[in-house]
Amino acid sequence: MGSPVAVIEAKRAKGAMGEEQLSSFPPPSLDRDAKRREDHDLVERTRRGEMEAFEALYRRHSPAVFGLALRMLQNRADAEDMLQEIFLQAHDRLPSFEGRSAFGTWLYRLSVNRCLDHLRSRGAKEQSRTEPLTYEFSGRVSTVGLRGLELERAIGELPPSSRAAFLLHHVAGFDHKEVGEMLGIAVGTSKSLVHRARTRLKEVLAR
Amino acid sequence: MTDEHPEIERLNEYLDQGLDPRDHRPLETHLSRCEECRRTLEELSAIVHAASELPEVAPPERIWESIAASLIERKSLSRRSSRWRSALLPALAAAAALFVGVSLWLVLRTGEAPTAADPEALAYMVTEELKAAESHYDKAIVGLEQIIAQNDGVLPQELASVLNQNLDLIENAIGESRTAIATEPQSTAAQESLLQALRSKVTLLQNTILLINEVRKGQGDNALDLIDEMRKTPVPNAPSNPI
Amino acid sequence: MKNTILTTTLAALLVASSAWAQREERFNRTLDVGPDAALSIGNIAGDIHVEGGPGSSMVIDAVKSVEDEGDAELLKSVDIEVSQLGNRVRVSTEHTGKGRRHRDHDGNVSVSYRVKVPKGTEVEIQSVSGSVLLVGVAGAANAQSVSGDVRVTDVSELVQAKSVSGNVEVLRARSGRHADIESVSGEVLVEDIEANEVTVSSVSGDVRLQGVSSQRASLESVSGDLEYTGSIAASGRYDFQTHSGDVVLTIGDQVGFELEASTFSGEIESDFTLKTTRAHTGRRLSAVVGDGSAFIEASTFSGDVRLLRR
Repeated sequence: MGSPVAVIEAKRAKGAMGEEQLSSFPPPSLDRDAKRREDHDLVERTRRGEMEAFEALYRRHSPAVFGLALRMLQNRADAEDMLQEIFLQAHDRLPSFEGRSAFGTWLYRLSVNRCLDHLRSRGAKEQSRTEPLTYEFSGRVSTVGLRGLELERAIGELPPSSRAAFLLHHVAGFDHKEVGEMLGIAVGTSKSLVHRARTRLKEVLAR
Repeated sequence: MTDEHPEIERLNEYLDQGLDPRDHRPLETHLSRCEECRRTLEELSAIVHAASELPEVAPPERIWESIAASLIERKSLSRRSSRWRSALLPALAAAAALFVGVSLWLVLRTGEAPTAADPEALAYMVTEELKAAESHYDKAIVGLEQIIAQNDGVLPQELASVLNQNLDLIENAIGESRTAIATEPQSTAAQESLLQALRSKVTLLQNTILLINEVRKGQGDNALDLIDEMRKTPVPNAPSNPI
Repeated sequence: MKNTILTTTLAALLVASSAWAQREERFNRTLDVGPDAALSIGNIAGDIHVEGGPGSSMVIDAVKSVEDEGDAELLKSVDIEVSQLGNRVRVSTEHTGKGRRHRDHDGNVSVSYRVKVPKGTEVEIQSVSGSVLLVGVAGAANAQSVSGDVRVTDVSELVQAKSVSGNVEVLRARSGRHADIESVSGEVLVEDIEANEVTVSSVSGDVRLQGVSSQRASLESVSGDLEYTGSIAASGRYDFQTHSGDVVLTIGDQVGFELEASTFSGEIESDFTLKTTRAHTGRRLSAVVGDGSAFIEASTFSGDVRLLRR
């Protein structure tokens, strides 16, 4: 008999989530101001009824929002639902968005407040830690390594307000004034919440 | 006072460069002598640094699809045009409630649904992508079947029989899937079944050709290497997944 | 087929020696190959047993036999060819057609092989209608038959175990690569396998996996059931696809997983309390158990999906 012949099979290639983006949009500019202008333009087009423009906004901002939702809600299922609700609400409220602040800031404000509402309505106690999200982040911690993973877990131990302030300030990069405006608190309170968060995180990580 | 350990709040302030400059010197002196406080400061700093590197997280694609579906439903509901108040409307609403997948993109692209007043129109659109995948498979299958037909009688009767029985089984699966899609075009389970069945058919046909090749080699038939012929038949590698 | 050979051999032994001598022909060869040998053995009719053991030589025992006394001269028509190049040995069974009196009389000449090889040998077996048994080798293991059963046990580097109409059984196998275990109409049973990735499939037979330790496992069938009993690895990927069969998963809850289960006309049942991430629309279920670190996809068209707790 002849030598074995490798069977050529049509193998199904599936990515981690099994999906791929349906279309590609030009990536957002690295320049912050240019990015804001692009967002502004997309908002205008969305208001005129262009679905593609809204999708572009989703593509640009959903990773950040999803990250926030995951870390705030500490629950993947809730975060997915929340992401959907946030963008639907954003779409609804776009007509009233005046453009005084950047779209991203406006979106973050909407997002963090919805997350806080969700957490508070459930009761912080009921928000049990049965689903630590380490798996979600494990594929992406590159430069930070194990430290990042530990940090993700530790963030889940922060009470809602300090968690929100910490994420907005240190992860999303807003200054205390912006954080204050988003959360409806004074600048000093934001600072205090962030410091409290850092102290608590240090304790948790030291365990 | 200067040698007492500072409150952690002071260290936090210092880290933020929010401490009164006059207080820097005493604090720094203490830090130079105190390992514990230095470590505390380092830890706080590490937390800040690590936090700034925490990544964004790409959400699953189906979330966008759900959002888009909801938006379409809202859009259609808000239209005044009578042609939307047709049988198509409940179909669109149904689509919005379920996973629809790639099909939705087509709706978004065209901006509005077709004017046909029957649910079949939506069903047609919904399966556009699926049909594209199907036609790729069908082409591959035709090519492979041709090679097999050209070598009729090469395989021993029993073997050919087993292969044919299994091919029939797969054909049934294909038929069932197609019927299911016709009745429930939005069902991803049905679409997935069809693609899976087509894949199975291609695999079996390829295996059949390999066997034919082996038999021919065994018979000293070096005339045609079917493997090369088979390779020329383009087979979809990564079929589009409706999810 | 193998039963026929066994019966033939036994029957032959009971018959008078002269008749016995006519219906069978023995073949024996011993080769010095060293510990890292490679064997490629092919046969058309008759079983092939290859067993790994100590030592550095390869011992090939073969018995050519015919069913009917009258076909004795057909024994000449089959040649056993052994070629060796360094430590690589090739054994092939050539049906030359010599000594055939009646062209249309398709006499059954079968060759039964028993081969002992050094443990580290790389083995590749190809049979058409005989069964295949491969035991105890540490080199790359590749066993195929067309209509015979294939059984592979105690191997360290499984590459392939396949049959078209025969059953395939793999026990106590390890593989550092992608192990492929398939049949078309036969049943496939895999027990105690540790592989980097394992694909197990049958078109019309059932597929059963037990005691699996793998980062990635893929089970497929068209009409057969798929059963998986074992552990899952955190961040592992497991997919199960059948058309009319059921998918039955029996797993522990030590490792959390994300589940995507779907059936078109069947049912989805679970022992686990599933936190559904998507509403149970029709017969589709997305859920997370524990921390959702592994990913399980179970799809069937008309069968059921059952998730049982160990």
